[in-house]
Amino acid sequence: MKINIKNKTFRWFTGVAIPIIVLGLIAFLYLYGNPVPCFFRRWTGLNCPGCGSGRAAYDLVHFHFFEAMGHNIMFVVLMPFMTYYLLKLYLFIVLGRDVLPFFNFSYKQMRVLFIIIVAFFVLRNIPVKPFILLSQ
Amino acid sequence: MYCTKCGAPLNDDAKFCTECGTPMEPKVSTETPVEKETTVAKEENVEVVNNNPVEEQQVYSPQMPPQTPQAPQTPPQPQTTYTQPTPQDRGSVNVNTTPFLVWSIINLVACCLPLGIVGLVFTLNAGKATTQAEADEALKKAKIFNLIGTITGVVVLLLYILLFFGSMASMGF
Repeated sequence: MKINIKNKTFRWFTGVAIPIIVLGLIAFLYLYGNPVPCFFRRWTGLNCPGCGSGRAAYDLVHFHFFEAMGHNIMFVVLMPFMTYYLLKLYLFIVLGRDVLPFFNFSYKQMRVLFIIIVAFFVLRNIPVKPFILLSQ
Repeated sequence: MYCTKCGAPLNDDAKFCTECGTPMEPKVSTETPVEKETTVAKEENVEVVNNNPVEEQQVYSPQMPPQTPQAPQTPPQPQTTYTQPTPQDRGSVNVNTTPFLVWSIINLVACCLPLGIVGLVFTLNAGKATTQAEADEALKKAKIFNLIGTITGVVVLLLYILLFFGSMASMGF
C-alpha cells in the first residue's frame, strides 16, 4: 500500500480526525449497538464469517466477553491483531515511519488462515448442536 | 526519497533504509564507482603481477569523496543474492502480502464478505506467484476488490447511522 505521507496537512488531519471518528463510533456502538445488518445473512439466510461481529463488538465494549465469543469467536480472536495493525498504520501515517513491528505471513500461513476462515464459514452453518454454538 | 519497502523517509543519498535496512537502488553517482571498482578488481585478477594499490587509488579517487570507497562495495552483495535465485524460487519475487491479508480479513469480518474473500484469494495468489509481474497483478486486483469493499462498507455504515439519527429526530427526540 502506498500512502502519500509527504503531505503535512494530510498527516495532521488524519492524526486528529481518526481518533475522533473512532471514539464517536465506539460511543455509538456502546449506546445503540451495530446499526448495519449483514446483507449476506438477510439475503441468503446463511451466517457469513463476519456475521455476529457487530453484536460481538457491542458485547466487547460492554465487557461481556463470553457472549461476544458466542456471537462470533473469529472476530473476538482476530480483533486484537486488526486493532494493532490499524494502530500501526495510523502511527505510520502520523509519524511518517513504521514504529510498530508486525510479522510477515508466509504463503503457507496465509493458506492455513484461509482454510480456517472457510471451515468456520461452513461449520457455523451446520444446524446441529455443537456447531450452533458458533453462531449464537 | 522514500524507502521502496517500508516507505520510511530517507536522505536522498541514502544507500540503505534506516528503518528496515533494505538496500536502495544505487543512483548513477554511486553506480559508476561500483562498476569502476569491479573492473579494477577484474584487472587485478587478470594481471596479478603489477598489482599496485597506489595506481588503483589514482584511478577512482577524482570521482568521489574520500569517504565513499568503502560504501559502494556493499550494495552489489544483496543484489547478487536477489538475482541469483531462479524464477522457481520464491526469493526472487519481492512482494509484501501481509497488508493485503490484514485488509482482506478486516473486510471479510467487518463488512463485505464476498469482496473480502475475493481479496483474500488474490492475496493468496500473489503469495504463490512465481514471477514478480504475476504477483503485482494479483496484488493490484486484491487492492481493487478490497478498496471497493471498504468504501461500500463505510458508505453503508454512514447511511445507516444517518438513517438512525434521522428516525430518532422524526420521532421527536
